[in-house]
Amino acid sequence: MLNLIWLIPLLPMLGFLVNALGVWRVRDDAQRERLAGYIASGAVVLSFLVALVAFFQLGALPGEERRAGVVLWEWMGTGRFHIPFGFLFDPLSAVMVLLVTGVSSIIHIYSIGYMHGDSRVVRYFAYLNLFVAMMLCLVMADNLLLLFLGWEGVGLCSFLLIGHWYDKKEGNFGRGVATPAAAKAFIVNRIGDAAMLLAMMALFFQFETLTFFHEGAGFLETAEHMQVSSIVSFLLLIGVTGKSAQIPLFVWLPDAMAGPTPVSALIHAATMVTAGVYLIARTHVIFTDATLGWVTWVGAITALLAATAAVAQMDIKKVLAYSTVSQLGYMVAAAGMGAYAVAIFHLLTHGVFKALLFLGSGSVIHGTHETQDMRKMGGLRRHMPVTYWTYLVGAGALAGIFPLAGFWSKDEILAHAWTEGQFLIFVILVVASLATAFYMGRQIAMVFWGNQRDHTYHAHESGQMMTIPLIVLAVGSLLAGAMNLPGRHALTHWLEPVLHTHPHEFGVANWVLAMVMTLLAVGSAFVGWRYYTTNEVKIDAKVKDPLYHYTGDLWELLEEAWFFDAFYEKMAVVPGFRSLAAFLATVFDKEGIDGAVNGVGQFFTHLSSQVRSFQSGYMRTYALVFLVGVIVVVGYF
Amino acid sequence: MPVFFQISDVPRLLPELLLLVLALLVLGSDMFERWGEDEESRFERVRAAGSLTAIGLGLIFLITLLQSGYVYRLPADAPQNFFLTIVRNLQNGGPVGDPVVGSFATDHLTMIGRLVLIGAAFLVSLLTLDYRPANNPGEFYALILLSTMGMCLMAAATELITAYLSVELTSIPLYILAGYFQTNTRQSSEAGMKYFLFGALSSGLILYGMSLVFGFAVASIPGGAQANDMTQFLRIAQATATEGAAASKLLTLGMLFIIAGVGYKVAVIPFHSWSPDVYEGSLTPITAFLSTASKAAGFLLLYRILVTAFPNLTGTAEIVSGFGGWTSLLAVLAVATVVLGNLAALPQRNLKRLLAWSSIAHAGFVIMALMAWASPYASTRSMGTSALIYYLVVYTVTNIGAFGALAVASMTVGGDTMEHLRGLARRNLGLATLLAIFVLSLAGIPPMGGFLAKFYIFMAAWQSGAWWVVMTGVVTTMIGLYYYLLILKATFIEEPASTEPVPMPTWMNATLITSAVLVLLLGVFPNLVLTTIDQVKVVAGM
Repeated sequence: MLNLIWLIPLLPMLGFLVNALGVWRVRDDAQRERLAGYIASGAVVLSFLVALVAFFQLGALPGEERRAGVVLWEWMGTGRFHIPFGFLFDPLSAVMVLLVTGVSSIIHIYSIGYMHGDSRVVRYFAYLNLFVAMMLCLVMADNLLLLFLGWEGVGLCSFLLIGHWYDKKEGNFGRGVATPAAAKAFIVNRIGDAAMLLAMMALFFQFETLTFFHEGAGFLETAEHMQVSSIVSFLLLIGVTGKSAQIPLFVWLPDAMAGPTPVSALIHAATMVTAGVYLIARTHVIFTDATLGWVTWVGAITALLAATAAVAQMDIKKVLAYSTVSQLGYMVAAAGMGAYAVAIFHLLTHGVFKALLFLGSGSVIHGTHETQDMRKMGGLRRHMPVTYWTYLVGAGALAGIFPLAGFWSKDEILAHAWTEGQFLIFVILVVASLATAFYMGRQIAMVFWGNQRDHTYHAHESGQMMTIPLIVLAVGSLLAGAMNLPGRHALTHWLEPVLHTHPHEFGVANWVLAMVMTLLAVGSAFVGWRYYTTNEVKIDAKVKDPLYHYTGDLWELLEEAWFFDAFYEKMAVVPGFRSLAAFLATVFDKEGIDGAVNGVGQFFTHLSSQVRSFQSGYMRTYALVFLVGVIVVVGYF
Repeated sequence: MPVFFQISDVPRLLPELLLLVLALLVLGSDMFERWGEDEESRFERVRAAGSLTAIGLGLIFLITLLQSGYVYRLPADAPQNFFLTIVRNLQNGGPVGDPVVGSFATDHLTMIGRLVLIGAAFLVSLLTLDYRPANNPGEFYALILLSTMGMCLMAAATELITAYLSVELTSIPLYILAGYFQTNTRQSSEAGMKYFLFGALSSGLILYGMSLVFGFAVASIPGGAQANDMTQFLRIAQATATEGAAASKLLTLGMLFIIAGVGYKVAVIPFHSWSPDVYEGSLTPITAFLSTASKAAGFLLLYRILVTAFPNLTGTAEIVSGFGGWTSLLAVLAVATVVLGNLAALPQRNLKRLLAWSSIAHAGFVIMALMAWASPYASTRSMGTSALIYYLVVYTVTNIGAFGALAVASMTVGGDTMEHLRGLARRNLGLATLLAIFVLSLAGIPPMGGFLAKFYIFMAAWQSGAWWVVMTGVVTTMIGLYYYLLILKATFIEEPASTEPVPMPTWMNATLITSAVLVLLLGVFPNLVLTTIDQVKVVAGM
């Protein structure tokens, strides 16, 4: 099976092609919808099974030989420049592939129920399959360029899927206009991608190859005894901040929640956004100490800021979105401290329980007829028992409560910060984890406890197609910690050939730390739950949050996620730019079209309409430009 | 030592000769047939000339492909029979040997150039089949063919006079073609006129530059008597291979004028100002032709002239030390072109104008490939060569597709502004998807060919130390993404003005699908062409 690993990304790709080229032609609506769902889900489930078999075969090999590679064809080969189109299956790829295919299988099945009756369901499933294929290409690539293909591909699919409900102009509370959100996600991501491109060029300049492993000649192999410039890893870090939604490029992820909820679960929580963490783990050899310091701080600060921002959100999905940003911050911080295996451990557990939370919130949104404002919910535990209990498991896992999955992985990160002597980082992460427990307690209270505050809808439990995936994921969230239990550290040992990290000794100090952290988490969650259940009468969609009374402006700061978005928007029109634009202004202006676009583009649009005014349509102007050009060119020598 | 034209040189110039014959045939068959005046026979007349051109170009393309030996090379022990002997003779005229009469090289560069240019002309002629272009179709198609012939000569020219004449042979038909617009005569004639006036200006510059270079080269050989082959690029390089020549202002000035003149053909800033107006005013398939084949030919000529005639003036692409020589000039031009081209494209609502600016920006990216000559290493230089040609191939296919999609839109929807394209996906999903493939390729998104092409060029430029040029390129690619996204937004997301389905003319459909398949193939299996492109080795002066 190990030489058939190319089947893993190929199967979803075939699913995409069948759906995109064949299924949409089916005339009968119900039949078309069923066919699309089954084909897409079937492709991913098959891919999961292949991955599972390959995983066990890999495990049967002795430790150092656990690396299978298949080169399908030479992608680009000219002169010194050789890039294979090949896949790599080693312990790190294997766990990523299992997470991606496993979680996607569940989410695909869930989508059959969730997207029932949607007008563009074939397109939805086709894009979802394409996404899975691209994500698998990303985690299985054996060189940086192929990784980049997947990296861009998942970005494109994310763009397409966020914009899925493009005709919902205003939509519900919190679901902003889907199109600007999609464009924003794409453009912000491209900033990171540009840095990735530059990093690749710098890498090639030094190593003359972009292949990870190639009989000792891959750049990850030669880098072990070579000094790599910090610039390369720093550029990679910028790429990571774009894809994994870290400061300062995290602004797109909360907006990306405009897409369908299963998409948020799959792309914007469990898989795509973790690509950055995977990239750091994969290329950790070339990260210098200087950059790793940056990585740690970016991660830790993101973890804290996003966790506090999540406290003040009113939209059920926005809470989870900021929580995702915050948890990604934990992973990045862990990777920055050199605990790559721990970062991957948290990535895996988070993939499971965050998918559960998002799907649970999808079930809530579905059952309350597209309500996303938590102020309009309340008392849902009586109407949606399955959703409630599974959600509770997910929330507990996220808050880090013993013995759920998140407890083990988060505790490992904190323990690592403690034993490495990074006390400031440790404190930041502890505060962030307190905030995490608090906002989950708050959310449980606002959504499931008390009484229903808005009676315009009739809440009901979702169908089996949606609840069974929830139960499966809840069981996963209960047990996922077992893969790296302290003392055994199965995952860390499994990843050791790739990541070269060794598990920490497990001592009394860790037990104490774990116990204290659990107590703190339970306490913080209880405070959040208690406050919002007792003050339920003060929760109203028309007034501010009950806590606003005590915190005032700080609350607004949190609600607006520390004003990053507003800052970027202000950036586009600061006086410096304006005067530059005015400087370029001339008397001619042919067809003035301004203000047609939004956001970052505005400044450039303004600037460029000035540039364009040279283009007046008059021959004499053109000839003048030409002549001046010649004179400048000649004069330059 | 004078070199004479020999009869065995005829097969080496076969593609050009065939183009000439085809042009005369198209013109003649239109002229000697008595056509009726009514609408139907007029349509028939256009069809007749168009299909003759398309079939002829297709055949010439296949013959050139066979001649080049890139897909099939006759084994040496193949049996002797009539057909195989024809193939053998054809392939003997393939990419080997010294330039014909010292003026036309028939090396790999010429061969690939011919394939690209004839292929582009073929696709363009297919596009025009459904378009009903002009009242005198014979003339229209003959002009396209003659211009294509000029472009092939541009790619092959190894001597100043030939280069100049081929530029003129390319340009003059294009001036007329730019003015060929049935429905919008005023704008179209304006376009033709502007193009012509600029062409005249740049022709003057090229000639002036050439005379300076020639004069300098003749003056720098001792004795100065044997001047008759001093127009050849290689001889210029030999004559100026001295310390003093490289430092001479006169030679540099001549080179600058030549760069400016060819820079007009490929529309790099600041010699670009004609192109948005001309692109907007011309018939859309002709715009496609102008923005692809004509540009590609210009780049091939620029490449050959700089590399073979001025290897002593390359300079470096670094800003701090040794600023001088053509690589540093081109570095500055490339940066200016990508920045201004991408910025000016942002506010455009007319898509032809938008693509005009975008193709100006793309010219900037192509120029970056020439940065590779700032590096002294042969391997980096050859990387630059293949990056340049690969980019030209991908760009030609993509842009023909993009303009072709616009041609369909303007024919069936009634215009080519953003407003016309709104909600196209709901009126014709196939057309919208094809347009999306081309636009994503232009934006440089993998796995389209455009991504690898850009990546390869950046790679080559970075290797030569022009990292600041590459940085600008990467950043402006991001700015460029914004306006490409606007097109996709209009077609896929905005509400259509009407829900009436948009029909897709047969031949345009075929052309667009061919281009789209090529764009994807070039992105996923670039080695199909890269192994061929790798053979290009243009000899620099000794």
